[in-house]
Amino acid sequence: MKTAIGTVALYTKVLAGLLLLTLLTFLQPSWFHLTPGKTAGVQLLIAFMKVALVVVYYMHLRSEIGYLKGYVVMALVILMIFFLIVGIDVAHS
Amino acid sequence: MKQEMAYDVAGNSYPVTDYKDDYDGEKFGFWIFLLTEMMMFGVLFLLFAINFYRHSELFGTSSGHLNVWLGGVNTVILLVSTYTMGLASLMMRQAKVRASAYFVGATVVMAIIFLSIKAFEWSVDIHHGIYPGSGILDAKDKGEILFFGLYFVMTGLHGLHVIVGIALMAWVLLLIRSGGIRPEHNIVMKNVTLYWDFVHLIWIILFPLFYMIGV
Repeated sequence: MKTAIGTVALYTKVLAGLLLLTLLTFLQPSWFHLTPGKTAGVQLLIAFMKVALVVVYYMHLRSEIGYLKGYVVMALVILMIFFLIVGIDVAHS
Repeated sequence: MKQEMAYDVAGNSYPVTDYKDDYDGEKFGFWIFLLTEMMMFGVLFLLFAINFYRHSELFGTSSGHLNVWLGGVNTVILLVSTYTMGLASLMMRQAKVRASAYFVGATVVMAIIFLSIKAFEWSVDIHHGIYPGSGILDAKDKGEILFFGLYFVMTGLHGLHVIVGIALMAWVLLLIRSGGIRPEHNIVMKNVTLYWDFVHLIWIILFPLFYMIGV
């Protein structure tokens, strides 16, 4: 078993990164005037970067054992399959 | 039969005699719970995506009615609260029990501020007749009805998770006080920290979808 021990310095660096991305979230609409659909795409891209930082460093998934990572990936894949199947259905209805 | 081994928080192995104090097992079980939560919210995000695809312009217009500053302040509060809860867990592992309790307390305060701001936002919306089933909202276009319906359901469900989080953190404080959580036995704290991270993750996605698409 690998034990994930973060440090205050690491936690603070991640916090700084998250705050920076949050600032980007606020500034994006004033930098680029996009349609709601494209805005959502850009905003979600920033959001996923934040999600990755939290999951990897605050939830320590990076240093977790392989089968736990596998379960997380499996859940995400199942969710993506839901999105894909329903997305195709909605696009053709 | 091969002896089953478990691991304590420091990574030292010990033989399993029963299923108490199984650090890895308890953490793994909690991750499974979080994944079921992810599925639940995932389906709601899917519902949002379908309706956004069908009514993107009206979703953008409706989003413009929300107070982006209040939502933004809440985003920063929740972000910092994730940091303090992480530090609380870290301090406990480093045997700084008092500092850990202070950080949990700070997280609880921020969670209460988050909820208060959310309650204020909702009360303003409700005061203006914007809530599911109201005559004013029902008179609007279908896209706007769907947007605000999803807004209340999804932020409401998230708010419910924040309330549960506050209760869990209060329980953690009681356990720290009673010695139920201590540096060498902190799995409850670890799992509550994971829960709070998850609550933050959901908000990270909710915020841009509801507040930013109409800015």
